[in-house]
Order: sequence, then structure tokens, then C-alpha cells
Amino acid sequence: MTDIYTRLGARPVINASGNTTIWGGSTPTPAVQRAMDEASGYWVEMEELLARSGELIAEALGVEAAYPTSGCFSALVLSTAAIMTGSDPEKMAKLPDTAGMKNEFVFQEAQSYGYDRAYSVPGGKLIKVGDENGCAIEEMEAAIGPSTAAIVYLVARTNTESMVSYDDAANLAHDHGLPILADCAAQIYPIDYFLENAQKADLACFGGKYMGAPHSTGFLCGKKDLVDAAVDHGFISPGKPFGRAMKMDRQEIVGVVTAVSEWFAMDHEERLLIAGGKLGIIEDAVSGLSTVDSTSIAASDNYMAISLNVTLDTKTLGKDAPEVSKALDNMNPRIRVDATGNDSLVLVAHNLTDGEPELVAESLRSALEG
Amino acid sequence: MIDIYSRLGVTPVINGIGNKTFLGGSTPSARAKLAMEEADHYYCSMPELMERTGERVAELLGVEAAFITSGCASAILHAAAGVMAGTEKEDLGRLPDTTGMKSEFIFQRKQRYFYDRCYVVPGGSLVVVGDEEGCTVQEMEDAIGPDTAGIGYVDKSRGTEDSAIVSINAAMEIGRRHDVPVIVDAAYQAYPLDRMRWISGAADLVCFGGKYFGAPSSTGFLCGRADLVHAASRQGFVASQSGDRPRSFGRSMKVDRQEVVGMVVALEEWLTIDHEDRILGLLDMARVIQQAVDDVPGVSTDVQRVESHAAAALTVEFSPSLIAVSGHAVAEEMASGSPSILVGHDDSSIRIALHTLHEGQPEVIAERLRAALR
Repeated sequence: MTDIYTRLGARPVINASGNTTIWGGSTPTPAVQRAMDEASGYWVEMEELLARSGELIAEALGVEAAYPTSGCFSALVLSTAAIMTGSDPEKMAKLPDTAGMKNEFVFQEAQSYGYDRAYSVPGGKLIKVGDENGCAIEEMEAAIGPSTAAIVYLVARTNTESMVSYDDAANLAHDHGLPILADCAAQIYPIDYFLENAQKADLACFGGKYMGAPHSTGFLCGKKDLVDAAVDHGFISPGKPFGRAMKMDRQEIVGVVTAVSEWFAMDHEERLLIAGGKLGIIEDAVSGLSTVDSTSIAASDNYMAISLNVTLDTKTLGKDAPEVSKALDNMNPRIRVDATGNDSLVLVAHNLTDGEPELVAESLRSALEG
Repeated sequence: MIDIYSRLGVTPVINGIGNKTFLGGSTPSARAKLAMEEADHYYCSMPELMERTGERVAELLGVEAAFITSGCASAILHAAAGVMAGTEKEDLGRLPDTTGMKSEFIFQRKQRYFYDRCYVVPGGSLVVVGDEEGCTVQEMEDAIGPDTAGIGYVDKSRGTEDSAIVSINAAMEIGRRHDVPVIVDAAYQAYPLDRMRWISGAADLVCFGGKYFGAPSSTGFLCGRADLVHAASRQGFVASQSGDRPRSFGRSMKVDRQEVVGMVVALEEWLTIDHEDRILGLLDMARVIQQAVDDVPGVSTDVQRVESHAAAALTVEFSPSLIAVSGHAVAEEMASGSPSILVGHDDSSIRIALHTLHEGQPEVIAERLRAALR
């Protein structure tokens, strides 16, 4: 039992859910942790480290250039800034005042989300097109005008047929001589899909936490001239850069580049087998209970790749799924299991360390035994 | 020899110049690192962690409230954003658009510096007062108007006050008269401790960098008046996912739970360790280098105490009549090769910061310096 959180008065959490920022985002993998520890041993020219790390990430993704950042949102802010200013030092110095610059970003209303705040932080303006149900390509095209800086796109599995597709948006942007900026935060698996997402945009942004890098890391990648402009806005750039406050440690930079290499080198079949094994321990503990209707371990179409679904017989149990989730959250350590709807729990295993699947299994079992 | 940097094709550096961001800023103390590893074992609720650690920092420094950020620049930015936008969800979600908000920050010309853009990034503007020579209380007070959001201030003093500028106390008095908060950048004022404690309570909002007291480079904090710290924290990176989910400005300035924990533990350590002992350790490091060159004709060494977290630095002087080297050439030779050794230099000397050296590195410096003088 760790006592650092208890001593500080924050309760420790076992995370059977995803890599959410408000829950701490990620735990670096052992290889990443080792590399970060090693990086502490010496100092380094950050400019050289960032440049070299960018090259290695770009090489892995088959794109022209890349740049590590303090998370995906930071990558989006720096990308937005880069698109508006290019590498013009006068424009760079003026942000967030964007008078005289192309500063409009065309975006589908149906993709609206919390992180679309990134485009206004450096002074950009979102031009939302379509409605909450979808958008036609003609509507998107009609919004392009003399002040348009780029088309922005949220790459997500939840995108629907009634929205403009990533391909169509990219083609439309290029037909108009505009860049497309894509938020691909967690869209990193399968590997082919990861590569495709990175290569399609002029600038694509990813979060490092999804691949075992530290929580406060990410990167942007794409066309060299735009990446170079983003670098000039970055925290070590001379001349009062816009992005100074988005600081990274050398340990974190080493961490994100190591995590990217590991993600490409690893046997993902094995990763899924291990995650499936952990979920199996939990499933075995609850599948026979009278309060459980059914359980299933199934592939999910995101970086977590596999999840356990537990459907409850809420009548027999006398509690619904959110109440079970709440009861687990009240334990010490807190156990984080998501309820989806009234009668179903969903668990993922990639954030569970040795011994934790057994603990989750036992706790869930006793919660479901009433 | 470390191999992560060679594997990445990057030259490792022995840092004899100080806590520079461009070299990585800091190496967390052993205790901070241990706590960071411990923090890895579990996840936690970040809003809860940010609150508890803010309370802890405030308690340690005897101020009302504190909030941990991704560095001192980030602290200033949060402070400026908080002062302008307040706590209303709609207002804070609008930055950098400050229409209808007070958005001017008064700043003394003589204090203008790299980080004054932190007020501009969230939408503020600088109203510069005085000139290169200094600024009077009257000039500062005259600049206050209906759009004044705050007074920005940087404390660059290292034990000596500049009488040509408006002091923090005088700025605070002006602020009080006009109900305008004063934001102080005290980035590296972590030592002596009585000065750190004094300055952390000397203004409405005071900003520090964590790297100067053994915390990770990308950490820092702001502290001061509870209402203003609260407004700043509403702009923080976890705010957008908690409570009423404001569209905060500071989402991009992320910190890890490990870093947050590391910063608090580093601050606890900094405020309780025996600094005389720490300084003796630095002097021991200096001695290793001094002994290696003492017998070289024309070379003399001197350790100076400095009134800052660095505490002491070693100067190695070359007497031109006795030895045909320049400080620049020696520094350049030490910088070439792997690991690269970076030191300060002028025509006739090099200057080595001691507090950023790791165990075993003074020996490497001693050897390479001797070779450079051969």
C-alpha cells in the first residue's frame, strides 16, 4: 500500500477504466520509466533532444516531421498557432491578436467537443458548419472564405456517415490550398489505422498517454514547414514564444519517444492476450452470480482493444450499475469501474498492474453479492 | 555511461551553468523521485490531488492558498487569466477575448523581460510605465485606470534591492488603494528560506518555479489570496473535466500526478533540509575540481557564495602572463566531446555552477579541465 497519496490526503485509485486526465492519465510502462530514469542522469540540450525525438517519431509514423508537446491539447494549440502565423516572426509575436491573419477554422458542428477550445486559445475562430446530426461536404465547402486558415477534424470512431469523412475533408482542404489539422488523440490502434491517421493530415495531433508515455506528453506531426512553425512557438524557442508555459521535462520527452518506439515494436496480439487474461480473472469471479445476467469479453475498436462487459440483474441485486460503480469508488483504494447505462458495467485492463485484477475481481464480486 | 541519449543520437551534458530550461531545467531530488515512483503505483483523482497539494503548499509557506502548475511561466499565465476572467464559467471560457473585462497589466519598463508575454498570451495587454532608468510610485499610480486588471512585477533581486524601481511593498500599497491585485514573478527566489517565505506572502499572487528547489523542471506554483488562487485554478488543465466543466484556457499546461507529488515533496524537503549541509556538499564538489588544477601554473580558483538557491559557484582564473589559454577556449574544449561539459566563461576565466552537478561529475570535470589546460 502506497502512502504518498494518503499522506497528502488524496485517495489512491485502482483504474479499471481508461486514460482520463482527471484520473491521472497514464502510468508509464516499465521501459518508458527506465528510459526516463536514465534521462535524469545527465542534462541535455533540449533543442537537440526535441529535434532528434521529433525525427524519430516522424520516421516511425512515415511523416515529414514531428514535435513532442505537453499533451494532445498542447499539440492542437501549437498547431493552430503555426497554421495562422507560419514562420513569420512578427505574426508569431502578435498572438493571440490575429488581426490581419487568416484565423478561421472550419469545423463540423456534429464534432463539437471540449477540446475544440484549443483553436480559440491562440486567437483562432471556429466556424461551425452543419448541425449536431451531420454535415454535407457542400456545407463545409461553402464556409471556406478568404479568412479560412484550415479545416479542423476530430478523428474518432464515433464519427458517422452523415458527417464529412476524414478523407473528404482532407481532399476538400487540399483542393482549396488549405491545410487540414486533425485531432487524433487516441486513434493509435490498429497500427495501420494509426499510420493512416498521421499521414492524412497536414498536422495531426496525438496524446502520449494512450501508448504508455507520461500523461503530460503528446506530439504533433505532419508537413515540415508547419511543424517547424509549431516548434518556433514551443517552450524552448527564443523570443518570448506563445507556448512557453507548456513546459516539458527532458525525462518526459525521452518518455514519449520511447513509448512510440515501444508501441511500434511490441507484439500487440500478446498485449491483447495479457489484457484478456486480466479481464478473465474478473469475469470468472462474477459470471456465476445470481445478480449477473451475462458477461462478455469483446474486442473494442480503440487503443484499449479489449473490454469486459458485465450486465447486471438489477432486480435481484437491488442496485443499479451506477450504484455499484459508486460502491467500488468508496473503497480504499478506490476502484474505478465505469457504468454504461443502468444495468451494465464496462472494465478495461490495460491500466491494471500485477495483483490488481484479483483485487478488482474480489471487490466486484462482493459488491455484486449484495 | 548512460545510453538513452546515445541511442537517441543526442549528446549528454554535464551542467555547470545552472537550472536552464534549455538544458532540461532540473534533476529532481532523490526524495522527489522516490515519491514520484510511489505516485506511479496508483491513479488518483486529479482535482482532489490538485486541491490537497495546493493546501499543503499553502500550509508550508504560511499563505492562504496555492495551486501547482507546469512551471513558473504557467503560474504567471494562470494568475493573469484568473485576475482578468474571474470565476464565472462564461467569462473564463472566452479568453483570450477580453471584451468587457479589465485586461491591462501595469509593468515597469525597467522590469520588462522574456516572461512578460505571459500576461499577453491569455489576452491581457501591458501598460508600460517609467523608463529604462526606473519608475516612481507616482508614475505607477498614475497609470491605473478603469481597465487596469493588475500590476505585474518581477523580483530579480538577489539580496540587493534596486531603489530606482517601485518596490513590491510600494506596488502592493498602490494596489490596495485602487483595489488592483499585484502578481509577482518570484521564479527563483527559493533561497534563503526566510526570503522565500517573506516573498510568498508579500503580494496578492506570487509565482515560483519548481526546478529551483529540486522539483521537476515542468513544475511550479502560484500562491496568495484564496479568491485569486481559486480563479486561477478555474483556468487549470483539470477544471474543464470537473465541476461545471468550464472551457478553461489552461488545458494545454498539463502536469502528471507524479510531477505534482514530486513538487510537493521537493518543497517539503527544501524547507526542512539543513542548507548549511547542502552548501558544504557543494564546496566538496568544488574542492575536487580545485585540487585537480591547483598545481597548474597560472591557474587560480575561487569559490564565491551567492545569495540564491545556487548558493555557491567556482571560478577558475587563467593568468594571461603565465598560461596561454582563454576562458572561451577552455569552455569550448570542455563542451566538445561526450558528455559535453557546459560552464560559464569570459576571456580569462570559467565559472562552474555546482548545484546542478550530479555525484561523480566533479571528478569528470576535473579530469577534462586538466586535459584542456595541458
